[in-house]
Amino acid sequence: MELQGVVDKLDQAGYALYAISYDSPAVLDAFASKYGITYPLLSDEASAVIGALGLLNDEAAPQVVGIPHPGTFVLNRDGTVRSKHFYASYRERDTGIGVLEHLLGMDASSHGNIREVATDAVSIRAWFDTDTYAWGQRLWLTVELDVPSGLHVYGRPISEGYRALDVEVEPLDRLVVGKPMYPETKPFRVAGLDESFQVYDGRVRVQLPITFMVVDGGTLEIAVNVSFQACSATDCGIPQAVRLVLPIAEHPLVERPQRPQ
Amino acid sequence: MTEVEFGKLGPAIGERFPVVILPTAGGNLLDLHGDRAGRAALVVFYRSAHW
Repeated sequence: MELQGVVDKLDQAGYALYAISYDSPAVLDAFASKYGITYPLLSDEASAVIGALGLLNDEAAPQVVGIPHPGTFVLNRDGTVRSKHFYASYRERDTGIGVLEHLLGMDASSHGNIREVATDAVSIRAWFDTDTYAWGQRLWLTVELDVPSGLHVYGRPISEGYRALDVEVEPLDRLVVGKPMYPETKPFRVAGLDESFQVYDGRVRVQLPITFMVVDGGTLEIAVNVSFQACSATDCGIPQAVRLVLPIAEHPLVERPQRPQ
Repeated sequence: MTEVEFGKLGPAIGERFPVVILPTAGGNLLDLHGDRAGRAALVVFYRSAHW
């Protein structure tokens, strides 16, 4: 379990770590022994906690019932939920690791809730720089892709027939969406071909500003569409499109503007 | 790609994480908030140790 690798770092950063699944204590015990797990593995055999928290996942039903949507809750020191991170993919992988590394890698600056989606190879996550918006406020939306080593994602300029990385926010009334800022690409030459492609690899961040000209909007759901195509040196995957929905709450204003523009 | 309403899953941001008392791999009961003892925490839900 990849989580074990970061337990010490988490501890140093002041975080306790707990993992919950529907396995019996006996299964967990064998697992813990086999992998040298030092943090608590909690057994929710009846899926009582999983069910009570509203996390029951029916993706594998009817063969398997009682499993949760894989995800991670980050709790503050007072026990309140600071953020939650869920994944659309149900495949066998340790879904906590990307979030943990991200959490540990963060500096003191705050950020909003992270939404993440895992595709066959590339993970995509997005977040605002804060949890709430206020009228007239400009926030930055960051979309981050983790491209596994050996693969790259196309950037622009792009050849005919290939899909370049594209981040687009679905329009919403009263939102002013700015131009996305893409990082610099690097050239990639395919052996035997004359063509050179502009690509991204590793961790890729795209940022764009959104100004909220909204009053009394309550919690908004901002939908972000990320499309891309991942290729290795020899093969290309099919172009992919991922949609992430980021809820953002309204920060109550002390004084309301007299005339919203 | 299936889209689940992730914003609605589990306790809301800012809400206190509920009391969780469950047996550990060792077989003893663990009270999550008690064990946390005032530290921040990560609570990871995963499908299964088996598959």
